[in-house]
Amino acid sequence: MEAIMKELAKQAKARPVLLQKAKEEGKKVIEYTGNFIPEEYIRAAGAEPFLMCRGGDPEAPDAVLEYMLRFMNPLARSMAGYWLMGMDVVTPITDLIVMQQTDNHVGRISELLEFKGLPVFKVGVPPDWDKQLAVDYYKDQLKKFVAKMEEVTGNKIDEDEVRKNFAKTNAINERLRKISELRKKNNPPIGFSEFIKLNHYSFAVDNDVMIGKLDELYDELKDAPGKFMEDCPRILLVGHAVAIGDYVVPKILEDAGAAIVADFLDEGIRTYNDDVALEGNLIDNFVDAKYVNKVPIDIFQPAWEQRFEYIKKLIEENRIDGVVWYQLAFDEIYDMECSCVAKWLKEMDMPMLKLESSYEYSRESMGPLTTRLESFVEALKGGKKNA
Amino acid sequence: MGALAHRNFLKLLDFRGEELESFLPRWEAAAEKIGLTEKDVDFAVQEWIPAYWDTSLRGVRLCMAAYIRELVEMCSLDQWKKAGSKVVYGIMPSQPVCYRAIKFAGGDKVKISYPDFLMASVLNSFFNRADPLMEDTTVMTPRCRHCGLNKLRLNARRQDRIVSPDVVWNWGLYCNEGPKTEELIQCLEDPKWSYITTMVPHDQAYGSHEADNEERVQYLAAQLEYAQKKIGEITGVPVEREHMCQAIEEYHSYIVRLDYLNHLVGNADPQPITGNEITLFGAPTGMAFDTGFRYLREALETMIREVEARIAAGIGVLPKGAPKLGCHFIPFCLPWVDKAFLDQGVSLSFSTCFAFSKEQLNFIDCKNPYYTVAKHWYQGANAVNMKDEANIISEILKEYRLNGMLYGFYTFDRWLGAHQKTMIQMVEKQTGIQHFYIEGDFWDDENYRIEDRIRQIENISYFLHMEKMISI
Repeated sequence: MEAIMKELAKQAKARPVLLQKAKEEGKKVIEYTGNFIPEEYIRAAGAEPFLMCRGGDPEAPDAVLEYMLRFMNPLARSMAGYWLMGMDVVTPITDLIVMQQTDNHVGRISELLEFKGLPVFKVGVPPDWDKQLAVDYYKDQLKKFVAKMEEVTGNKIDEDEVRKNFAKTNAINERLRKISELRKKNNPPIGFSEFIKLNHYSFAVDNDVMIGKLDELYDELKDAPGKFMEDCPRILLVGHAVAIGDYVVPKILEDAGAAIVADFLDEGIRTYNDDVALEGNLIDNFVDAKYVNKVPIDIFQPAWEQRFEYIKKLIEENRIDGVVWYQLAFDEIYDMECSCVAKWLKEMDMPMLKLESSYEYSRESMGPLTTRLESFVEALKGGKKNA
Repeated sequence: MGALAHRNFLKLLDFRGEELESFLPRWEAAAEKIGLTEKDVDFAVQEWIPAYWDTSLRGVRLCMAAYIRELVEMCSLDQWKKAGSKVVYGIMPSQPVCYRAIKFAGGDKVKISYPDFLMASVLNSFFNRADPLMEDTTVMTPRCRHCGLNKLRLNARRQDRIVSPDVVWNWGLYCNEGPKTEELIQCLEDPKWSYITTMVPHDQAYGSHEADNEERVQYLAAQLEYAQKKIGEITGVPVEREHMCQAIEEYHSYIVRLDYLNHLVGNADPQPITGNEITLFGAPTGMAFDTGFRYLREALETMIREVEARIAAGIGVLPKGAPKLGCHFIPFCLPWVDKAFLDQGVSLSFSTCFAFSKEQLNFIDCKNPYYTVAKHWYQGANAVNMKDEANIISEILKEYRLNGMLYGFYTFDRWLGAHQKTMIQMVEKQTGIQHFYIEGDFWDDENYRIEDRIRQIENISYFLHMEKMISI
């Protein structure tokens, strides 16, 4: 696994260089945020997509404080922060930043980028997803997005090309699902630290290469021994996002002897359980798969009861011993959902740890953070022994 | 002290004779319901109100009374429910027309109320006693900076201070937290807490004037009409076009007069009334009263007459020539802010939040009332993209004589508060008016030390005085 992960990491890191080269060859570079923007259309338009979901550094969120309220989540702030700091090599060469408008954190940060003169295109994603009005609105937004792609690239998008791209992402999803299934083993051969990185790499590495590497990895892992201590606590990680680069918390948990065997995150991860049907109208299919039929993201309304049903399903299917709620600081809606989840989990006697991250991983912060995580894992171990 | 405190309070607000006697028990019951003790009421009469409100002005007394009448109505909703009326809650920010149309359609078959905004305004502004309804350290954690109104709504339901409505119509057209609070209450406290949301993503191109985007206006109109129809199904009272039109006309006639008052106060030197006082009249444009505009309108007309008289006599809250600051929303729920500025010789003069663009004042069309409400919504500054907002505000500010603008106090709002530091740069550039920013929480200032705020107010005031002296 290590060699494959290293290879993928190398290719993912080299992505900006490839983008620069593509740009020199006359291709357009399109950055985008979130799972509600179908990158398949960007590729089909002949442009190069790049997911904007970097985080885990405290400096980037701080860089926007001159312009924005400090009580905004650090992931949204990082979207502008890295660029403001001059630590973003892609945004300066990007031809367009397509930003899904799901909440006000990212909404206002989009406006900051516009204020600073960057080319931003917004795609509205209505939170009232159970209304037909909203579904039609989102479809209309996606049609505008497609038109924008054609305008920026000067290329007419070929529906078959889009279909091919969806087929590839479905193939990646299928392989991620297979690998994720391996986490259900008593002692999983892969941890969340690797699994989330696989997701992140899959956004940056060539699709065909990724499919091949995921096959290789699955073959290697399917009969591999577990990588954790026998009978270690099994954790479900729930939250907004584990951003590209924000790997501290999962690592501490796994180092403390727990296995994160399931995850439920709204961003920074592929929606690998939800394939897009390839027959018929692809925008309709995408909306059905990612908006109408998918478990709603936290900001959608109504969402929380349905999300908790899904959490319960994950707990049952993955024999979960404890839940870690991984919240980004000042993410007010997740904070509210957490109160519901905490209450409902308590009623199930399921231990939960709430963590908030402001991407502050200084030496001073790491001590208490590590102690909290280790204590939680130890408590889960104790619970397992007693059981 | 006993019931005397309540009686004195009502007398202070111009309740007299038979009306006082009949209203007093209702007020006492309401005060108890929302957690006000006689001691609290006595404190308000003896200390808080005299410190922050000029009750020598009849317009102020009548306006405060209008809030109290509405609060008493809110506190009797359980009785109305028992008698068969349906209860519809509205949540700020919204615009009163659609809710008032429900009243025009149903009379007392439907009672409307904005419990959080009303309680926050009354308890904070008149009694300094909203804290017990905003304190919560478990469900909406303080470090996450939640909105005081949402905390208040949740806690008021938890503490059984408000009834469960038949439906809440929540306009989630600014922030995300408002509508999600309904879901929170439903999930955690009250499974019967039923709600309908009206939401539109903030996704317009930077600088576009959203009111001119027909598609956008039509979409909001469709959302409003959809919600109104659903609410009609719940209440059994369908709202027809004529009811919407009645409500539009009622609202429009109020804002035209409010705009007149804004201009009187904003442009008079010396300024005849305080920022807190003018805000009392503006806030009801963001919520609907079950008691309607009747009492408010009487108060407003009285206030206008009194202001005109003061201007004619050259009477002001500060001497002529004192610097004037406009605000986004004068924090009348923290009335000491206005007072602290006055103590430093600076007056807060009006809120852009309750000032109306020319488009808003001139647009009234009852042929398609939902379209009219939607268009009006986007003609205002708060719901639109940052550059559109800056343009609208800049236009409004040109009509006022100001020495500066004060922003801030919105740390809890990721829509209205998030971008202010950037937006004000744009307005400064367009208008040349200096802007100031104070971090704070409009509804619930417990995270901040008053001493720090006073120091900032002193600094801003000093700067304004020096600038004025230097420019002379």
